[in-house]
Amino acid sequence: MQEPSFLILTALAAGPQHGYGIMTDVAQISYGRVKLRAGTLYAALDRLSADQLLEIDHEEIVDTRLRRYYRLTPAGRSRLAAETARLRANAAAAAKRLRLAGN
Amino acid sequence: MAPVGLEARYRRLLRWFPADHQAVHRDEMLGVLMESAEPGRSRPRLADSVDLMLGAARIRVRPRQALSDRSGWRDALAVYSIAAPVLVLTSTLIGWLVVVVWARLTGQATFYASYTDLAATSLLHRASIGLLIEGQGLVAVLALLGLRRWAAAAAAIPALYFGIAAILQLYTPLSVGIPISVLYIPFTLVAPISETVALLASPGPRLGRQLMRRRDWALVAVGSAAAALLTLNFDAVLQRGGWDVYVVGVTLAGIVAGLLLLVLWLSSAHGKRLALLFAVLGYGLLLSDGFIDRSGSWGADTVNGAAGQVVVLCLVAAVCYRTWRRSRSATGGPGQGQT
Repeated sequence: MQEPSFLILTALAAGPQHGYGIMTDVAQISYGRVKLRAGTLYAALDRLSADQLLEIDHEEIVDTRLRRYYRLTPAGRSRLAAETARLRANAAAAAKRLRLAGN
Repeated sequence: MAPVGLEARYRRLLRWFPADHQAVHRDEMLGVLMESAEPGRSRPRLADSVDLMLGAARIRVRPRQALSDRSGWRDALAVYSIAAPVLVLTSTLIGWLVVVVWARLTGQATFYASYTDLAATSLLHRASIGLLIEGQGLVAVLALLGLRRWAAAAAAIPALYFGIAAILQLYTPLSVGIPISVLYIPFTLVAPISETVALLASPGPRLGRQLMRRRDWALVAVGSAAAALLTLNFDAVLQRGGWDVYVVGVTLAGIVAGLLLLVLWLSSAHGKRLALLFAVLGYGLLLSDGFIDRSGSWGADTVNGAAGQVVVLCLVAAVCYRTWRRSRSATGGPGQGQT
C-alpha cells in the first residue's frame, strides 16, 4: 500500500471526514511530511472507493459548498489493520537488526 | 470567500477529469480547492494545477472494471470485427488516393510502388493487390451488413492466401510467385487474421455496430488517416534513403494522432480493450517492414520492427499487470492492490 493511501485510511479510522479534513489530518498525522493536494487526494479516494475500502458517509452544504464525508468500510478497516501489522513487523525487524549491529 | 476568478480557473482545470467523475466530485473538489487557497489568491498555484492534471490523468487511465471481464472482451471483439476492416479499407484507399493525386499534381513517379505499378507487373501481382484491397472491401461491406459468417469467410481467404505465400516465400526455397512488395503492404497478414478471429470469437459486427458511438467512428477516421500517412512514410524512408522534413512531419502527425486515440480510448476499460486490439493491427503496420527483408534495408526494418514490438509488449504488459492487481485486490489477498 502506498503511503498516501495508508495515511488517508488512517485519517478516516477515527471517524468520517470530508476532503479538506482528510488533507489537513494527513498533514498532521505525518508531521507535515505528506501534504496531499486535491488532485492526488481525489485520485486516491476514487481508487480506494473502487477497491471498496471506503464509502460515502453523508453530505452537507457549508457556505453554499458541498462537503462529502467519507468513512472506512469493514474491508477498509481490516486492510488498514493488516497494513499496520505488516509495517509494525517490518519496523520491529529493522530495529532488531540495528540493535544487533550495535547502532 | 476567494475571488471568482480563482474559482473559474479551478473549474477549467477540473474539466480535465472524466465527465462521470466531474458529475460526482466537481462541486466537492471545488470546495476543497477554494478552502485550501490562501486569501487574496486569484490564480491557482502551479503545483496545484499540475497535481490536478496528473490526478485527472491517473483517473482516466485507470480501468473502472477488470480488463479480464469476459463479456467486455466479447464486446471489444465485436467492435473490432466491424471497425478494423473499415479502418484498413479506408486507410488503404486514402494511401492510394494520396499517391494518385501526388502523381497527377507533380507528374513524378511516386514512391508507393505497390499501388501504382499495376500495369507493369504480373497478373498474380495484380490479383494479389486486388484480393487485398477488394477483400478488405468485401469484409467491410459484409460486416456493415451484419453478416458475421460471410465476413469471416471473406477475411479468412486472404489470411490463408497471404499466410501460405509468406511462409513459402520467406522460409522455403519455394516461391508461389506473389511479388514480395504485396507482402510488404501493412495489414496484409495481420488484418485478415485478426479480423477472422474477431468475427468468429465475438457475437459479431451487428453488436459491434450497436456499440460503436459517433466518437468511435471519428476515431476510426483519424486512425485511417494516421495509418495511411505512416504507411506512405515507411515507404518514403526507404525510397528516399533516409529521414527528411517530410518524413519527420508525417511521423509527428502520426504520433499525435496515435496519442489522441490513446487519450480518448484509455479512459475506460472498454477503450483499453479496444486499444489493445488495435495495437495488434498497429503492430502489423509498424512491423510491416520488419516482417520481410525489404530491399535488404535492415536498419530501417529493425527500427520499425523494434518500435512495433515495444508498443505491443508495453500494452500487453500493462494490461496483464493491471488485471493481476485488480484480481488480487478483488480476492482480498495480503498486500494486494495498488492502494
